[in-house]
Amino acid sequence: MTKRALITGITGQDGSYLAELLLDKGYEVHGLVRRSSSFNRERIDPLHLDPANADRLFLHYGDLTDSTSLVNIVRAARPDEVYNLAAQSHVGVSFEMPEYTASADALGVVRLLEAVRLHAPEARFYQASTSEMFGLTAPPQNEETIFHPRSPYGAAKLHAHWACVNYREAYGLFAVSGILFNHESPRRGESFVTRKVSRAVAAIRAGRADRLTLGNLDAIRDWGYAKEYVEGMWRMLQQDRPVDYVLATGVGTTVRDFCDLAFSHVGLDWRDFVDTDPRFERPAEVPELIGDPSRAAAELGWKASTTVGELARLMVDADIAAL
Amino acid sequence: MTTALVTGAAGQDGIYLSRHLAAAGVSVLAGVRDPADPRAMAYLQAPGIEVVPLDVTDTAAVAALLRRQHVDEVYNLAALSSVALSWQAPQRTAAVNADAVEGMLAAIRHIRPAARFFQASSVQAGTSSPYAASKLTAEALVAEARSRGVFAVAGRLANHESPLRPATFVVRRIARAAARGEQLALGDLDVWRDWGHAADHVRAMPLLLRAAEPVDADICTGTMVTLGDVVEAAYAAAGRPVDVVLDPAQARPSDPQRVGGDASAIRALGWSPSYTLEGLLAEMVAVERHRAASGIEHDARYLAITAGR
Repeated sequence: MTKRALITGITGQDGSYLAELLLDKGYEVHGLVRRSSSFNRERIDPLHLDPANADRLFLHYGDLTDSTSLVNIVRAARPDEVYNLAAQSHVGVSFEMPEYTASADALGVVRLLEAVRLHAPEARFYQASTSEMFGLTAPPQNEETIFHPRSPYGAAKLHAHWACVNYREAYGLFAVSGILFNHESPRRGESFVTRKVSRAVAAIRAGRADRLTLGNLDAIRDWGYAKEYVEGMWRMLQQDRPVDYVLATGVGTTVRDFCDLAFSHVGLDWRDFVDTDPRFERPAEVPELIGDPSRAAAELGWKASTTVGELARLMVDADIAAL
Repeated sequence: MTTALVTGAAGQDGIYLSRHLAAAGVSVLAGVRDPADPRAMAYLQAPGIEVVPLDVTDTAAVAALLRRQHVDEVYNLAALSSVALSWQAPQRTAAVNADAVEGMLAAIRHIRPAARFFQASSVQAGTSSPYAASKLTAEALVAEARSRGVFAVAGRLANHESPLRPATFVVRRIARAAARGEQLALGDLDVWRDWGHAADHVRAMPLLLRAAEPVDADICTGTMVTLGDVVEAAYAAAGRPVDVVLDPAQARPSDPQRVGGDASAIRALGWSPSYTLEGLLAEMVAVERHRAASGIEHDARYLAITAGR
């Protein structure tokens, strides 16, 4: 029988990759789209307008801050699997909009878990958790590491993480929290640092820009390729038992080194183009996130294969092609 | 030959526009949600008009249609058009009036980027109702599509009536009561609007869509009158004294008291109305007399009654 999946955040980077993956696997896919007066489904339009998907990809308008819309969509989609990828996912923005971030990223998950518990209790639930929940805790971080979030985003996501664990323990929901370290791609939002860098490299190379301004160059992150990470999400929901997993490459890289990888790909020296401005630094910085993905490797057979260097190069190439 | 897709073709404006375009030699695809709609059966059986089943909220179906048919012009008239009902069905209003526009514009950008897009908006866009909010959202989506290279325009229509108005709308109720000599209860006669005839207003749509530059404009006569003036015109056309009682329960305090538009842009494109308010009501009253005599709500012959031209 055809499996049905509901993806919140289907218009985002991960949602669009996951939709492709699930359609490839023969799923009927339902996506939640937020109402807006500007286009926000660019990433999903090519899939949605493809005649091959006319009877197996459905978009529903709704919002994680509106529980009625969530109930209606869960009832309409009757999902076997729910992937909650919708979030206000920008750390910097969360300092500007802490209350909205909490409403969407923390309470939104409670709203969705309630809708699933009441209307699709057999559905398996994936919660997109994040390495930002570790914040100040020293690396390498794994599933047993103590959390210490350093932003409204990290705190909201931690609430959601524990809500997910709680619904598993209290109601027996097959609810899994996937703690993903940074994962990037050419579909990354343009305000995220990796994409800022790849776009700037393409623009500078084409003579359309001459400087790039960034915040903290010393921050260390564990960057992987988003397209591979959605496979890990799917595998988590195919296990016999609901267990939380870290997905990461296990390799840490500074923002400075990421700049070097991206600029040197087109024969430029990043030091000639990159400025720093303390205004781009966060009120509380997260110095170092490096994941330990050994549980995912052992139990899911999942391993990141794209290195950070390959990632930087494929992002730069895509932005050059898009110019 | 030009091919136009008209959505909401079974509605008042869709019928007038489809027939206007077809009469001018345009090949019209008249999109209707329900092909068995009695209005489609009565008014869209005309040379040059092909009725196609289309639910605008089904973006995949819109995309399939655009892929199948070469379309030069899209007139999106499909809407939940009642301000009053939008309070009962805000989600559905947003889905049809705004979300569907996003899907349609996406389909045009990907499949028929050269097609031009007309969005029927309202001079009430942005006033206080779910209907007004949905129309404002649609206008913003049109502006964004335009910034991305689509020739997309919004025409903000002021009130426009005709014998094809559904019987729940106030001007049709007035014409009906005047024609039948029945007493009429209304909420508030001191409501100012710019009332025109739908047959006139739809002629402005292709003018906007075929302009040199894509620019939004109001579609209105430029003349404001009160609901009391409409009542007087209707009873005068019927040759009866005004017989109206006020019923405060029917008043809609949330409705704006005055809504009109600026006719200068559309008149600069060469448009002007052919009906006066008196002519509009004379025609509506004449058709209501026929309806009262025949008991038939929808009949293409009603369109030939031009008592008010």
